[in-house]
Amino acid sequence: MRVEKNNQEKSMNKTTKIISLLVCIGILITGIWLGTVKKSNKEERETIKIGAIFPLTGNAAKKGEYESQGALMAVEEINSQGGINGRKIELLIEDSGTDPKKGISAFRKLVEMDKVCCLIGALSSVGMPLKGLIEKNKIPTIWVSGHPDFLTGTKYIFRNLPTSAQFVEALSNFIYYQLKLSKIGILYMNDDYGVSLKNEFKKIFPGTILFEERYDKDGKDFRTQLIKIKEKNPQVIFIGGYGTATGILIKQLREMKVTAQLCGPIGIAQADTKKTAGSAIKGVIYPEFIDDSKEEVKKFKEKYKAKYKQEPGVDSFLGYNSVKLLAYGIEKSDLNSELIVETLSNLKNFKSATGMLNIKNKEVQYEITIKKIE
Amino acid sequence: MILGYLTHLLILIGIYLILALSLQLAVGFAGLLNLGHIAFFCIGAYTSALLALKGFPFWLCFLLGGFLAMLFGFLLSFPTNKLKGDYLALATMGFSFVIYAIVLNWTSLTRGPLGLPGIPRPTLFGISFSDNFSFLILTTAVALISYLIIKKITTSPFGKVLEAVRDDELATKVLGKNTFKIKTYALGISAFFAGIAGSLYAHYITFIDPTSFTLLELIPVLCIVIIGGLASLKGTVLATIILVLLPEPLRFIGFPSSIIGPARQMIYALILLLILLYKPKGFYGKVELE
Repeated sequence: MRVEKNNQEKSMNKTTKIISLLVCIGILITGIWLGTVKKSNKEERETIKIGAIFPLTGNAAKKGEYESQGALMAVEEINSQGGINGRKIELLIEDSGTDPKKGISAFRKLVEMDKVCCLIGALSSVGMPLKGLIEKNKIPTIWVSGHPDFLTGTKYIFRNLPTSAQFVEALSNFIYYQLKLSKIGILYMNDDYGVSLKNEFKKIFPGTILFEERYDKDGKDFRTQLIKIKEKNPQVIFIGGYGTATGILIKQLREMKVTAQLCGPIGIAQADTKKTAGSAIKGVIYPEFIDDSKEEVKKFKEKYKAKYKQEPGVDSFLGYNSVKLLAYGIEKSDLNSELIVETLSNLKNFKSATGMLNIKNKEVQYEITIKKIE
Repeated sequence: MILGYLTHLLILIGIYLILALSLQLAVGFAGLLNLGHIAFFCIGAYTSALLALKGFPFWLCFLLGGFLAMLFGFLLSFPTNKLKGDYLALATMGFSFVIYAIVLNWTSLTRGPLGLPGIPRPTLFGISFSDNFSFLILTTAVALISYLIIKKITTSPFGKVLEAVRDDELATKVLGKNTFKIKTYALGISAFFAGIAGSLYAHYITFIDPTSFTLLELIPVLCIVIIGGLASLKGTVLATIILVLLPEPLRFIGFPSSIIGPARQMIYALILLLILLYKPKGFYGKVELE
């Protein structure tokens, strides 16, 4: 590293000043110009503005893409049917880039500059810091988040994602009342997700629990652990985990001729788990909230494929439903946020892309069905 | 009501400014390309948040956040003492991964990926900084004091020795200076300011989780330091303002929604490239990165 000579530095300073000045002026002018142009547009006053904060860049970008495509599809559908009480919807999508700081910038811009009446969004890490702001500004919000603390102390926020408690409840009912099996063993992964699944399952399941064993998230060989388990002879084994380690676990269970019915959370049907487990995964049951055999789901999939040339993800359904639910709330309550929240809180039998929906305790209740991996 | 939006951006500028100035001290003045800087930010944020959630007063959380980060700064300087340039960068990068893994996996303390919600807004001497405007004043005050202290350090005899270590460590050693001690101090002070920036961040956002402290988060700060120009505090201030504000007007350009995310990133990157093309040393840079 070397110190430059003085005269060269001076001439550098001049261009620096010019460039930085130009950039500053550019930022100011474009900001003001675009801000005023948007406001003077007459048509915009007539539309109902809904804000959306999705992770369009960063490591959750695919999720954001699915969400925004689903949401846009819902908006298009509503507008082509004449909008809400004759007024068209406009969806203003902002990028959070999975970053809470950018999420707040996006929220401020949407609420203060664009004056959106309602908000949709995704990701817990972006949503959690926004909770206070949403409450303060009284913006009815539907958010896709699985965080257990997301709804504590809020009034205007709804959760649009089944929690692990709901999944576990459906699964436990199915095992106990439908399959009539009551002796169960629990294997769970040693991370947050696994522990919370185990706790939920213990709380809900009415039968006897023979054992609780935890397995390593990065483990490769579980055979010694499994010998103990085989001796206890459970009718069902609940596997609270996902990913490669879970796949290996299932494979080794079957190799050791453990014949118990296996079941697990929604993550057990992920591609990586299936791949590592191979044929051993056949017959494992898991809860699912998007039922492929339903008419609505089939129709949605077809429409989505025709429009975006790709299969919809889970988040496409959620994004679509978020907009549809808000639109219903707005239609019934005419943009009054208190009324929108009240209407949505007591919503029953709402027709959506995934079937009938109810809202209970600010949580969108999906119909959870139990599926078997073929 | 554009005021809230602007206040938010100004607070971000303040927090980034402290972070960038502290990194400038290590990279620009001491010549230590420290990619573990985000870990100090993380330590400050988590220390301050955990203490505040236990009910300790803000000033204590704030200072302890800084001091704990400083302690780790001293610790980091021991194993990296003999490393230079790229090797130092790699070693310190490893440090940032270690801290990230600890925060993610020490679930009984940090709640792991669930993060820490409900971090209280600060109160100092009976004054509550709960609304954004008063928080802006607090941030501005801290940023200003940090600037003045770092300015004082860099213009002091100690700062001159620091620059000498950067330019030629062997020559400085020959002159009888203990370069290890000097580098340790530089890293410690730099870590302290990163820690207090982390504390401010945690109390402003009120929710932190490990994803806010990955290596990726350091890149904008490093951009600020390089675009502002190495060893220039004035340049750092200017670059902070420009880089924090730059993405915002892009929010108002009406891209079709299918390309909104990538299009903005591309423009942002293009502007950065243009600046570096015409100003390879940054705005006020005196030295080049080796």
